[in-house]
Amino acid sequence: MNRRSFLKTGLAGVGAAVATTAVAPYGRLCRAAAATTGKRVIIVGIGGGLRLRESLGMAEGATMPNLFGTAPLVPGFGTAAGAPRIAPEYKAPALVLPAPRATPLYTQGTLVTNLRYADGPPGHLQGHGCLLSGYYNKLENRADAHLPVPTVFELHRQRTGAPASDAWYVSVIGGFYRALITSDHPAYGSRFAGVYLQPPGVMQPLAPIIVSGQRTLDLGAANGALPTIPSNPAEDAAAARLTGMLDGNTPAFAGTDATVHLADTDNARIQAHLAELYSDASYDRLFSQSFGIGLARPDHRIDPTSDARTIYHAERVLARFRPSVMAITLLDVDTCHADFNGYLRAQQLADAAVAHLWDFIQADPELRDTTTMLVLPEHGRHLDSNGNNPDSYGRSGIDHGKGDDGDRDVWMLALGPDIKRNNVIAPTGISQPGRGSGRYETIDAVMTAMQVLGHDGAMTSELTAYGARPGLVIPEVMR
Amino acid sequence: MNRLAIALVLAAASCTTTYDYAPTIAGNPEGADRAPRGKTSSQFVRDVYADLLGRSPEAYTFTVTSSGVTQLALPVDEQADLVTVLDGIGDGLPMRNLLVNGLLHSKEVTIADKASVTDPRAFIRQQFTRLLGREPNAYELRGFADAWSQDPAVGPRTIIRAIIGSRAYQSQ
Repeated sequence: MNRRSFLKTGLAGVGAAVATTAVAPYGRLCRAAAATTGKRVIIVGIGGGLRLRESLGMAEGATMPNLFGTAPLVPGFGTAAGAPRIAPEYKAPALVLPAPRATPLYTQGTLVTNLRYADGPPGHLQGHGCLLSGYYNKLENRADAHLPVPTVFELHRQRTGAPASDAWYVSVIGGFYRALITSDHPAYGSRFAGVYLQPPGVMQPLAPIIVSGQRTLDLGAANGALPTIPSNPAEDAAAARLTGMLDGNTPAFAGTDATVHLADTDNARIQAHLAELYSDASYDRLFSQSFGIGLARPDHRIDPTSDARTIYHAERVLARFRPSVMAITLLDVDTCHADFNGYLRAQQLADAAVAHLWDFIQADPELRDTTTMLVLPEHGRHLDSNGNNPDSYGRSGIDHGKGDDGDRDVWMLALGPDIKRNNVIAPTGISQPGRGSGRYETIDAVMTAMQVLGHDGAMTSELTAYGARPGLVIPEVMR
Repeated sequence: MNRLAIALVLAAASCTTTYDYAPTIAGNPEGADRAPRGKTSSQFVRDVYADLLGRSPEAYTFTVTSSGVTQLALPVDEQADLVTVLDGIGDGLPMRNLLVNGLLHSKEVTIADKASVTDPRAFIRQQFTRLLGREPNAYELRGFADAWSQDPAVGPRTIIRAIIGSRAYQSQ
């Protein structure tokens, strides 16, 4: 076991002394009161760039069978799709995937097969900046680069008075993405930010080990249990009350402070959530084997990929906080820069994880009846390969960013109670001043999500005021 | 007479160039509070290690053995690894509080039992001085002491956790 796999799975499986209890049911707290429409939106951005050719076109086999089935949904790339064409030298470690759904998800909702990421650099930060704001942007790759227009989190909170814990951004990747939780817009900003969480960074076993002060662990010893951070809700609450007394004598943080500072009530709930995860001596709550998606280990356990861990914790957040707005960034397909087979395998894993998320939502009556989920790539990838690490089939890595049709031709899958079912569409002739594509675009997906929440008018106003072209609600998607 | 003479001498010696200086303000206006800025994750980790453990974060290898055989040798960089954890959440305060709780349960920290603290007010004063560099004011001391006497959940560890969780400690 190396450091990387340890960070993913902890010590599970190393020795018999390690407990592997199943995840205990997570307690559900009442959702904080908020003047919302009662509807929820989840935007799942498949970050890293996913081309039409491999996803809907299935040119390398059916890489996303849970979302799209096994027959190509767009012409031009192949007529029949079998199993994904993974070169033999890239087949290990094996993927752990549930059996694909008998009925692919696209039949339960609307699939726009010709969406266009029409403007702005096809880069990760810019692509996800667009998904979180409906604004084609040229954000610099800097940790302090905020969007100039309000994010979906800010719009929602500013308009409803909802607490931060009603708006979450759950992201595979940290760094620059952390800044996307809030904009620089003077009427919005960090006081309306949502909660940013990067599960692969936060939810890992090193933290309890480090703070325990233990530098060795003898699994055979009587006290050979994994270190935890003890949870004592009464002590947590008492400490918080005393902290509140002290804070009453201290000025608030400067409005220009780059750090997002949430309300005490939000932080108390988040701390209780984290305390439950870190007090589990099996470490199974950091990633439960029952999730069933990841990479196979020799000991028959599962290594979670970053995407799998992110979706797993997005589900935990949904269960506990029941937010109105959630954005999720996946990124594992971006391995395609240097590993074409890894790109195909990551599509399979993302497909299974997204389907798992949808099934999780459908298993909860409240979430099922109120949640709209949009799934779309942040952008595509180049039409041509970069020559990196050619496999035995002659395929190599693919970059993104120069803005060719491979970069910009994407799709959107919409699911939920307000979404038309069994609806595969590719509308053309869409007109709007400044719209050259004649098609629906990524910014339209975001605007449609905002319509579900009742914020489309506000988003249109803010984008127009900034001089940006606002997206259109896609009526063909809605019931 | 002397003053007049000095004035005349200075006037004769003075140069012809005069300077206008823009008015400046040193510090905040009287009565205004300084708006604090939060510590970065890196600053917080260094500070809390110094205050609670009396040392800097270190790098070492965490080893797991079974029947005398090493199963895992894991390189650990306390500073970098904890910063990664803290930076993975937008407002790191809940995670900071959790890590502090873990440190206060660690092998490196000895916390007195509540029953063994004979003078709670002195303990509270000591922790304020150690962690915030100041004495508690009368209101704070009374509030903390009352909580100590009335709430079974308030003991030495709670006092330390409360102070470290405060905006005063979390500020640069």
